[in-house]
Amino acid sequence: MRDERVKWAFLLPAVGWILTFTVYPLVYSLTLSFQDWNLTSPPRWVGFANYLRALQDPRMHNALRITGFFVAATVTVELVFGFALALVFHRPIWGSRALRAVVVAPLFTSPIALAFLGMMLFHEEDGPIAHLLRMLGLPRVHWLSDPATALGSLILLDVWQWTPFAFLVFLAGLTGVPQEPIEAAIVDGAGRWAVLRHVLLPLLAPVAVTTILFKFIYSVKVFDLAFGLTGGGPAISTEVLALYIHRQGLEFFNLGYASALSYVFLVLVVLGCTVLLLRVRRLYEVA
Amino acid sequence: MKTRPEVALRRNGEAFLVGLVLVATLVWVLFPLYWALVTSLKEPTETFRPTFLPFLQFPPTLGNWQDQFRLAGRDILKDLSNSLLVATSSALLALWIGSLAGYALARFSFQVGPIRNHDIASWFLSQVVIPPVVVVIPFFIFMQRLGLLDTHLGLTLAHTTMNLPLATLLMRDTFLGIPVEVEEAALVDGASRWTVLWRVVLPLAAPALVSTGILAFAFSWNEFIYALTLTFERATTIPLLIAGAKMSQGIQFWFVSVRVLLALLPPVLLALSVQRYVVRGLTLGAVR
Amino acid sequence: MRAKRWGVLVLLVLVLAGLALAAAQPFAGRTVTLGVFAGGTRGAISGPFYYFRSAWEQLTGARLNIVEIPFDQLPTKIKTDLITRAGRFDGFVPCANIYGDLVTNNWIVPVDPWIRDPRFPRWDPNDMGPPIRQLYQWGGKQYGANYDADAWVLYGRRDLLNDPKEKAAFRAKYGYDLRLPRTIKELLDVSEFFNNRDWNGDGRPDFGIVLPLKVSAQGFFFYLAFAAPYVVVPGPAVDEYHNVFFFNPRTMEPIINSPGHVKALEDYIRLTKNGPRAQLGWDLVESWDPFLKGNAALTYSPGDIGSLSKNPDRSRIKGKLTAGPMPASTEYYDRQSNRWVQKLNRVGNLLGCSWHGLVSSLSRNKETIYHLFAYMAERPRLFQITTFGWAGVDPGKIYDFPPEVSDGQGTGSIQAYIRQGFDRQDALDWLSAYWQNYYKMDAWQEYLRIPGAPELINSLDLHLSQALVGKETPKQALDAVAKEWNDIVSKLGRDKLRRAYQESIGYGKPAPRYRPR
Repeated sequence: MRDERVKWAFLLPAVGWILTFTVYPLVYSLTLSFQDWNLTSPPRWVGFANYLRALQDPRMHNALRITGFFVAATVTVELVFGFALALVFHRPIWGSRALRAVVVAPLFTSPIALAFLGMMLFHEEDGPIAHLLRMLGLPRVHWLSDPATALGSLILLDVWQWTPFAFLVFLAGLTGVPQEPIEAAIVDGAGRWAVLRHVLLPLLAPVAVTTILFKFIYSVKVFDLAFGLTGGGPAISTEVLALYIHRQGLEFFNLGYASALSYVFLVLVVLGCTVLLLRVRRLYEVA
Repeated sequence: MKTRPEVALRRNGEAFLVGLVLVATLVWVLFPLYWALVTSLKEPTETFRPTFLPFLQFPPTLGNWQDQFRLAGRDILKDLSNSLLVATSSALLALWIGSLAGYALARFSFQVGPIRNHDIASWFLSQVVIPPVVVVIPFFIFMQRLGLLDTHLGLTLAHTTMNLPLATLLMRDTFLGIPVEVEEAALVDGASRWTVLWRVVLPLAAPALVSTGILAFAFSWNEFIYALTLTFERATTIPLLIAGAKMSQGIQFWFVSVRVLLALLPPVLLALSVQRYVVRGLTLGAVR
Repeated sequence: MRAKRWGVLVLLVLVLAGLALAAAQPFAGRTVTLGVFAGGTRGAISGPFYYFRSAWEQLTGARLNIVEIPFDQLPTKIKTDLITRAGRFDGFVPCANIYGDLVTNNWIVPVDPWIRDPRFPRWDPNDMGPPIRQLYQWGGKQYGANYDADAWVLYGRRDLLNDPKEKAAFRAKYGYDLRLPRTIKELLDVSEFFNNRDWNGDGRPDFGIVLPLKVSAQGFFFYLAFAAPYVVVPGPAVDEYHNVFFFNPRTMEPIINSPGHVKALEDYIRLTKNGPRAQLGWDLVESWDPFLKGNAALTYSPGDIGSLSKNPDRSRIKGKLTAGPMPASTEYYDRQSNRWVQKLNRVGNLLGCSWHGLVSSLSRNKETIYHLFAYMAERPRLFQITTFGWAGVDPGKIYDFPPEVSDGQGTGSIQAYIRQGFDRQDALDWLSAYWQNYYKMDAWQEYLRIPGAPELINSLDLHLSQALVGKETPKQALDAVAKEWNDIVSKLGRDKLRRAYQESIGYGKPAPRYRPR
């Protein structure tokens, strides 16, 4: 059939593109990860030495922990707030349309611009948040200078940017939810919270997990926010993995080691996604 | 259509609470942008004070904007036009190639050994997973060997690569949602697949095309790490203008806020003007 | 016949004109690309290149392409260009800390052969203060033409320190007269005295001292400047025990956790308590503001404070600035005899970047770009640049200093500074501080610029930060740094690094010393 040739003509440009521009760099990065190449010595093969070092590197562990916490916190908060907002605004009350329109704005901000905006907002002496805290008589928060709260600043910025995403997705999800189970539950005398927990949530589970998947992929790559706002500090309290890899590669120029770190990173991300993807498939099959 | 839960939930005090939540959310969403705007209109010494109502609390001035354009006008225009060029090109390119591939995956059946359509789609999804930092150094060497460092073409290629997987998947979802009957009628009449795609399907998929295109445009416009590594003078983009604002002369809020707005306003305004399509695009694929 | 003779004459004239033109515009038609810190067209480091660009272009017939690069991307962009042999830059103006990487990879070209070459503008490397001169060299070869000289000096509020009420209260509390601190003890006392009370009448408590302690910024410089006199032992030559701060040059063992360092860090932490808590997150430029706006009594910093103090947009303290070299210590630790020596120890520093142009070995226009650097280094021009203030080029050459502050040795004119907007006394104090730092100290802290310096400094930076917030004790922090430094040195090659360190500090050679002319 005609289709046989045409279908490859349609698919191959994309596949070819990705093979050239992604697979090739990935392969190169892989070969680099087995070499030692820095500014004092030319490239030479060292086998798995870089990987062994990566697995034992306390700063790598720290970066993993920081990134993990960041991902968990942002995904959780955004999901919860997004869902709550969607619940409130999915009826046709006035303002929900305006909100839907306006809420798109944060999603299109550039993270690096947001980081710089954050520098202004979180400024401990003269920023608006500091002023607000002072006005309310609340104790001063050392957003950017306290290791305990610096990561919080990054999380806040990410939440500001991405809660709208969860909101919109859940909004669409709620619209698509079948009403029969809910009505049945109400007829059976279930209270509001019970309806929510036992009927609505399970129906929305596929949507939720897909949102988690998408947000996980996005959050785990976080770079711009950390680079722009804190540079990984104070100390290494906000040194997310992408930032640490960038530091090893393009600041210290330990190119081989940075590549090995990259691959460890990649493997972990793919593992995480696979786990989530399997859950999504199972939930879709159930639903 | 009012359902029983909605009727049951509608009580008087609720309207007030909902209103409160609405206002709070609007303030939360708009405040940072508003703050940037207001700061950019303040005199330098005024930026350290907690005022936020122009005319009422402080005299607004366009001085900061004028200064920025006077002192860095050439760079600003260069970066804006670079961003525009690269974002538009990479979005269109990703849209074009992605639509072709998405259509193929939606309409045809592929089988290469054990690999079927679904696996190919998963492969595309896996591309989205790759953190840029993993490929940025090889990319740099790759571009340097091709002589594409600090060129619009080079950055466009990088951004297209970034946008292509998502564009493919979104368009595939769109095409899956379009009934086959319309195409089949045209095919029976003797049209080629190409004509069918161009004349029949794409017009039907227009809203999705717009939303995907806008997403791709925004991702490219806001992209930082490739722009940081692959350019340094001729092809620099707006995010680099922001990053360069550091270490210039200190906490010049008035200076930083102008640059932040220059970076934020184009994609945000674009998104607001076509938010209907954007909302659709974001929710596609997440909701079956 | 006549026509032919005329023809020959015309030809001769044309040839002579051509030769003259070639001599006058020796680099006609060439374009050179310069990578430089992004200070803008009227800002630090890059400003002067813009300022003199058209004059230089007319002189040489060449074209200058200036590429500005933000500070934190500068080393990366330069090194990536070199390591991938892209060769985009003919010359660049990096921070001095990457010298080691550049020299050991043969990426920069020594300029010795050109200094006396009549084709190029004349400048004298010996004009630069002795310890700074070293930063323009490596292993005895000169790589840069004179430009910037950086060091950290102490700044204070002249009006506050001279205020009779404050003086009386200080004397009553501490038992000696208030003045700009000359020793560490005085620094601790004075900063404590002015901290956390409102002495400028604006209703908010003010600060004793303000320091930028942000990590991955310039915070670590501030420890280095403070700790120098505890650790650097004066001596006639640079050897294993004398005139070193970071490593033992014979063995490449880190000495960053020596008793001198540990005590210095303990006192440093005490000092930081005499300033605002928020300073833990401030970078260099952010820390200038409280001092320039009149809310801090002391700070120490590179030369920018001096030049910014005259700028009404940034400063409210013009006419109230005083300055001096970093305070001396009343004791130092001698590793040779393993004991503390109770002696006044004044140690100068070379901290900062001491920006200057370097010629890339990948350039095809090496002489052209050197011509530019030599042109900028010509005495009258460079002096003018130094007096600008906004150019970020700080005093260091002997002709920058007026005789009043330099024991009659300097040849600069204070009028030139005043013409650029400096307040007279501010400028005199500022210049005096720098004179003393470069020409009159007992010893100087060496500048860490060996390969791997960024990684070493990052390690120190992080642990300093941990110590500042109390997560590690000073000893724990510095021991951790020593261990990490050993790892880094081993990883990069101990012998390689030792040789680099020895070359960079002039190991075995006499310590820098100024000999009055």
